[in-house]
Amino acid sequence: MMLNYLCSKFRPQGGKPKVVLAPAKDNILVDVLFKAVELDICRPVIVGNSDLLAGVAQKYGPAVSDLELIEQAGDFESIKLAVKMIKDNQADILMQGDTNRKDFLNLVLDPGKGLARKNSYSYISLLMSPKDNRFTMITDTFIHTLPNLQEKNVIIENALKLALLLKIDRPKVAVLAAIEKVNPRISSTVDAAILSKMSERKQFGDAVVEGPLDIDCATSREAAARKKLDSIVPGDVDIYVVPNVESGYAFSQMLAFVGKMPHAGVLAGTAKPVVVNVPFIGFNEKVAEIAISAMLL
Amino acid sequence: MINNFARIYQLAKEKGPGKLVVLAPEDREFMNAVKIARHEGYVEPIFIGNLAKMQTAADELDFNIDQIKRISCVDPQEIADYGIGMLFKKETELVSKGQIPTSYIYRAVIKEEQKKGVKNNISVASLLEVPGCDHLVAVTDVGVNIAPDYEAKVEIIKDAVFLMNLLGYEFPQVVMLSANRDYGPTLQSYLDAQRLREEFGDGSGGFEIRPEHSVAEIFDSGKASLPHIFLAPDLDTGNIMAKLNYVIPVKRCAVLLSSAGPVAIPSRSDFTESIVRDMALGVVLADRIKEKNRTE
Repeated sequence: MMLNYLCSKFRPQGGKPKVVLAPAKDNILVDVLFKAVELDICRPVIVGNSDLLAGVAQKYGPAVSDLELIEQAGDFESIKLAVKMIKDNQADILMQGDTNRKDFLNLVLDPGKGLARKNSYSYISLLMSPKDNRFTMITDTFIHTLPNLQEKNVIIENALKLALLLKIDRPKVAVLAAIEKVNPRISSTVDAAILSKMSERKQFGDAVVEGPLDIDCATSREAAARKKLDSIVPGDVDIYVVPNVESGYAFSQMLAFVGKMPHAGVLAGTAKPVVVNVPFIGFNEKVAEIAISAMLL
Repeated sequence: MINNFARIYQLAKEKGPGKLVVLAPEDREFMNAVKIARHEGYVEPIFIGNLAKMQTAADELDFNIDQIKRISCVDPQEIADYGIGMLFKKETELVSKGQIPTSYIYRAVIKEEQKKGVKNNISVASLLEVPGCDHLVAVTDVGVNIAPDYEAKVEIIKDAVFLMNLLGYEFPQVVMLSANRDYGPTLQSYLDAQRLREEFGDGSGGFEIRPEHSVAEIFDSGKASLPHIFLAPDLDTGNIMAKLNYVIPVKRCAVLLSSAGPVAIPSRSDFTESIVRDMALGVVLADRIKEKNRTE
């Protein structure tokens, strides 16, 4: 559903980007990439060992004319090669293959050798409501354990960039905390209040950032009205900013699994798009992640 | 084992009316909840609060409160102290929050517990009814402890286990939520969970510890069976877990189980239906505590 929607609404600007999958192994991620190729989202570059490349050539070679295969043994060396290709503009998007996520991210997010500046990136869970095909973002659900104010600022900026690409008009952002009142003992409420004030001063452009909001106020206009909270954000939120990674996990996963909403993830704020292999994402949503990366270019 | 809210209502009707002190039912939703709970035979209420405000709220609803005992009090801390004091003096079976901030109630309960010297820590559990799940699910702590340390977490689990015991769950399963990733530093919530596993993994706490640490892991295991208790690593997470009823089809109620009995803790944003449920749960728990004390 999310994938169909993205494909119908959005097309990458310019030519089809090259996605380099590294290290490619004989698994589902290769199929994910070729599904994206079939949908005309991108061109594939596969980095892997010779046996695997032979298999890929046999399976997909006849149908895919611009297939690029690069032989490289070893997970670490493969990733390094792929990162270099991106830095040299030989490819556009890095897609994590079947490898240890810690090693992958440490390499890719290395301030000098990798694809991101320090303190510039965050992770966004993207969910789609089956009721009205509306996107909801929850962030940061992976990178920041307990973001401080400065980090939350970056987290919001990154989410707003994605909102713009998803054509969300005048995004509404809820900065979540345990209570809707500012409590000096609870830093999440203090940060939220400052971000809200920054928004009032138009420091986030057109977006409306509101906080602190507890989850009932954020998700229901009526509940917010009961707590005498006057704002246009409650009940109409595009982006939820969570106070810590644990609450981000709980929130996004309850919506995804109990609420049965299709869900994908986006590493945002890197110099070039990176598709991270995060567990619990469905096949079509993994393809959707490539489509979103193409939009981020 | 009580596995849905319909059963809670049924039992509240059977065992009620329970004597209930309501702390400041000064707005329409709270007063309406009392009206319904009384009409259903769940509760026999006593009000503490601003007499004029309570009267106005009742009048709006055509609710004749002449026969209901009303105690005049306007200061929120005094209201909480008085009502909770009645619970600890056994002058009432349960208490419900009305239109006052919960922190006053927590303070009153902590004061009484310290006097009594039985409990060191208090917590609030939310009880969820989730579609497709064949049992109720407690989420804790959703009220008191902002960032509980290991010792507090042990107390919080014990409170939730006692709650689930009362509801007929003899050996509840617990999932300790964290967000362990193969990236970044190991989380304190994960370390605490490992320590809890070491200490109570043998079942000596009267509960079973499940291997998962997130909702995704539960569903990914194929069984997709929710635990009986989710231990939240902090208040932010607990609140979000418990109050998703506006975005996914879950129903919720919340209770603070003090050593003297239940205190229903509706959120200030809750509507009548949800507040009635909190009261009904309180009645059932008060009855089961009485029953337990009688047989012991």
